[in-house]
Amino acid sequence: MFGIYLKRELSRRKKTALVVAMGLALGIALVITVNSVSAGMTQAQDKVLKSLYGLGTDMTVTKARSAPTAGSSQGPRFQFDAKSSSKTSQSSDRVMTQGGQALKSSLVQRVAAQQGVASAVGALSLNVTKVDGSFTQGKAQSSGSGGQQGGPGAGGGGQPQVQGGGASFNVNSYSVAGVDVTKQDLGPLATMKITSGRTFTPAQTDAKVAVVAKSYAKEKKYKVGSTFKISGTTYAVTGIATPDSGESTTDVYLPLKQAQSLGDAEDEVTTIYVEAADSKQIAAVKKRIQANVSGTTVTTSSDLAATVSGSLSTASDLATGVGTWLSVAVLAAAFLVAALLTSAAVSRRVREFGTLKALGWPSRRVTRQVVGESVVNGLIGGGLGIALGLAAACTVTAVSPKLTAQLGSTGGAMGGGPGGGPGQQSAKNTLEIALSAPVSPTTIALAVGLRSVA
Amino acid sequence: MYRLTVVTKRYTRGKETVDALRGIDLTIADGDQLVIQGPTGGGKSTLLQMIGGLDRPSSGSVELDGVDLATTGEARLTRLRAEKIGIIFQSFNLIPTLTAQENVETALVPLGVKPAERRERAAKTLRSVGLGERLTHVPSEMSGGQQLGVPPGP
Repeated sequence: MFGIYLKRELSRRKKTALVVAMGLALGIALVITVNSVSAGMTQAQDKVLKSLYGLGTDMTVTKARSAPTAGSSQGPRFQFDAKSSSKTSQSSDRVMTQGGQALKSSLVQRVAAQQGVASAVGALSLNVTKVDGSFTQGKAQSSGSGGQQGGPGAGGGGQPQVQGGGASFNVNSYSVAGVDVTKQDLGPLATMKITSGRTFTPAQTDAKVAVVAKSYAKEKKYKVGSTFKISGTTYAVTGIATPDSGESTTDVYLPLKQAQSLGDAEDEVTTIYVEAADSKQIAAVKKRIQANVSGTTVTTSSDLAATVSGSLSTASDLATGVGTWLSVAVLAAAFLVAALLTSAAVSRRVREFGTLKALGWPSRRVTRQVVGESVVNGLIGGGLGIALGLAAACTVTAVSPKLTAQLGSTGGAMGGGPGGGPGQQSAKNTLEIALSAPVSPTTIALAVGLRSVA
Repeated sequence: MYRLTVVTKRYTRGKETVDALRGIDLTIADGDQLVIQGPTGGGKSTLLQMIGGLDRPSSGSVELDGVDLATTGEARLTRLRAEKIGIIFQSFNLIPTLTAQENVETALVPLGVKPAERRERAAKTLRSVGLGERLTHVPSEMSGGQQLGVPPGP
């Protein structure tokens, strides 16, 4: 009788059942979608941070920003000779440490010795600006002399004039990271995967070899075995590397000593990558380093996450803010509608329940009948909601909308890796990342649980 | 057999108190047929509710075969209603979504009668009152007289 009665009641009140089920479905679908997209945002942010930080990196140590001294803000200078030949190609590389401020290499050991630090490794970030081209000498001609060349003493009476000549130069900038080849699992190369050739060997501490980011290698048509010059030193490409996610923010990786030589930064690093012994103690380790190693800025991944801006940040804010409230509001509305309709239905059926009681139906049987109807309604709505939510999450993953993430250094308070640059760097790193909406059983349980509580 | 002893039923609404029944003594033996007549508001329905085990008196006792309906537990009272009491309401009081046969079956549900037997007994009862062709009809598909003819149990 329970099943027959339930079936008849639901089929008789189809519209009411549909409204309740749809409200419920919408609430659950929204919760699943919002949670999935939020999870996708978190994953995207993690990818962005990892692409700059590297797996295992919990924080970076950079030199604290100091006020620029007189003359310290000079831009790069290039010197070329005005040679006598009519057309001579000249080239000059200007190598500068990113941000212009570096830490002593010895600080790496000091940081590593701090309590709670599992490992620390130094890296040097360089910006190389290559200018090459040629001057063309002008030709002196005297006016009115029939085009004859002549010096000041030549006859003809006309004043000599220099005609023609000029300069044509190409400017090419790229970033270089000096890597501690003995600890490549932490630092700039940790986020890179060697897709061609091989990475540095621990013995290549001062070898003239390079690993090149795939995008830069493609641009320059470098392959494993190719050679290129930086400030007159020839490097052989031993490997091509692809970032685990996003785009590489460093073009060329060199052994640390080579980078230090190029940047005229002997025994200096720009960033110290730190892995904490316990991921729950990151804040404490940060405090300890800041207290014990003066003149440094310590940036954790959560600090860096706070600087993420761009559409990823906006979307993340929307998902966690508006999305959450929207789903809560829809759930609340669905609950209200369901409660009102159920209440109205029960009120309308008081006489019916009275009859059943008079016929000897125990109260619990009557209650079970009403609850059963609500449960079936809930199951239909829940199933529909889960299906809708999964469909929405799958659609987001299939479409994979591109989001941009900017890791800002506007305040100069953050660290960042070689690609991110130290705190003094004013430029922002922009990465493009595809959004996905992973659905976990927890998300579904949360949505259904929230609705059950409501 | 019913034995009612000094049955009183008092309704209170705010500060106002109304005695619907006051000191009723009544005995109904098995097989007796009793007609209760009285003015509107005289307490006829209240008395039937006491006898039917649908409500409890404010004081006094309502015994059915030695069981006091005024003090017995809810579960036992429900069971007694299902087993020993049949009520025909003034209005039809049928479950609007169930067929005539299913409406009759509802009275057998609390007795634990198996579905097949329920269906058979309900159909037999309906046929006996001339509603054999209305077994699968819901109340809205029947006339007022037919609805009134659907018995509260076989």
